[in-house]
Amino acid sequence: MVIFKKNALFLVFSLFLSLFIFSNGMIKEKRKILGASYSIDIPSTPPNVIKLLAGEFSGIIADYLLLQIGSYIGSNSEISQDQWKIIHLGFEQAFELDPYFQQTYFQAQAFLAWDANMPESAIRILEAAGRKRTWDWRPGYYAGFDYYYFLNDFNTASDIYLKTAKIKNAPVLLALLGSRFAIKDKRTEASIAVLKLMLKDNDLNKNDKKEISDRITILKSIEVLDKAIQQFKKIFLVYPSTLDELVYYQILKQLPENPYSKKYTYNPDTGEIKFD
Amino acid sequence: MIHKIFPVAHITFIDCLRNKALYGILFMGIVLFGINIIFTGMFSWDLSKVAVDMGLSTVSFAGLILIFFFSIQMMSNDMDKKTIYLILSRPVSKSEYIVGKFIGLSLVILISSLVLGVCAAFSVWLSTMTINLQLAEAFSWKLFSLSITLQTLSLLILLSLAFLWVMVSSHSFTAFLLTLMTYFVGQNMENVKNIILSTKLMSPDSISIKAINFASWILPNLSVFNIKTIIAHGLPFDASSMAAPVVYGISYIGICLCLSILVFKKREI
Repeated sequence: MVIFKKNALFLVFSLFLSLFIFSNGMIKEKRKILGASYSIDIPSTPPNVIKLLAGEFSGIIADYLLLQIGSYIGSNSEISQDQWKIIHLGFEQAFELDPYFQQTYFQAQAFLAWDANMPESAIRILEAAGRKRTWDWRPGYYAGFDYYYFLNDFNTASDIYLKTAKIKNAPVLLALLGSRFAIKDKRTEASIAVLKLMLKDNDLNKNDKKEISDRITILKSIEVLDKAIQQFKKIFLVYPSTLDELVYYQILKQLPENPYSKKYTYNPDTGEIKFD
Repeated sequence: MIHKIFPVAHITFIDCLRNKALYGILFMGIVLFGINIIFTGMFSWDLSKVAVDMGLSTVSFAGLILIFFFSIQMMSNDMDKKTIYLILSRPVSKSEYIVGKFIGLSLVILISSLVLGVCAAFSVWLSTMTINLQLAEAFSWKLFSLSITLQTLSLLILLSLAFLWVMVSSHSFTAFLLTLMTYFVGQNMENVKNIILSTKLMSPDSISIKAINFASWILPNLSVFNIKTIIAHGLPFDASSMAAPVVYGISYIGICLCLSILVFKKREI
């Protein structure tokens, strides 16, 4: 009887062990092709509610959400628009849980703006991140990029770049881009003001100072030329065919200073001037 | 009085050691080393934030487990299994029992926080070595220690509340639920108020806001002790601003213990 009991126990154990090995092997085989994550478990709760549920563990839950989003996107070649909406909610939740986390806005920019074709959603996260990370110029840089590249909104892009350029250690390029876009929207005065302010920064190196100084000169020159072209049109009812005509007809004594080796690019049909 | 409290605290502490809870916590600390390095390595930006998050969250998590699954059970067992008679039959008053028990369990939480805090700091340091992690510019080990201290104080507040709920309720499960609810409300009370006010769902004079304001004088605001995000990101922080929360925490513990003693004295055992 005892031997039978021992054998029965062994048999039951062996049965369960075999079933476990078999089922586990099947699960592993089936999930192998599904990549790192075959489904995304973003709760459909509003971001501010998830913050309440997370309590003091909000930081670590934000990390987990981003990890899940990253692995899901990385393992799925085709993501439907509905799935992107879920992913967007995940980014919003992660941002709400930890608004200072750099990874949130980096991933939102990389995935939402480029892969999901949802630049507006990425911009919302970037702008919110910029408001929190006041020392970080990158959210402003990406938001400005999205405005001009995806939305063709040079005006807002210029505003954002000029504002972001004031952040300590922000690359000079931002101010230059901001001023370049400002010209497109005829707002050179605003960009000159920002560049002059930047010039006062003692931390700037010699090259950056020269670059900003040159840009101020060219902006002022463009302003002068622009006014002269408008004056020319008032008198002759057409735009000058070349910029030299402004000097020829004595509207200007000479063409304003151009610190760059390139000549001004002038379009006589529209009266627009470009310098790069 | 102290010489009577000390043996109760001592017995409680020894009892905890016998239950091997601290060994489990130590094991958790060792596991944290490995997990922190693996988990942090999965991120591309702000790695130090992830490492610090993980370390500090583990300290809180372990403390909560100790309170919810250990301390409440231990207190209730004393009542249910009548082992409390063994203590009270000696010249130990009910108030000495409560204070002694609280000190004993607090000591366990303190040691757990200390051990895990050191483990967390070590795992962050180890991550800086192994995965070339750069700590946030304004990261400070002093503030990291302050964060652990504040988390521990928050846990002690919760423990004192657990004591009160064990004394008030007659069942460990009821005490567990009440403590859990208090923890949840304590963590979120301020957030809920901010959400309601910022979304302009209600006016500041509404009954709900008044109820939250009233509750904030009864229930503990545990979110003031949570500075994990500030520490993890190295955000500007004035450590002296924590003086008021520390006094608040200590006084809250005192009030809870006094109430626990009052209830316990009136209670038939």
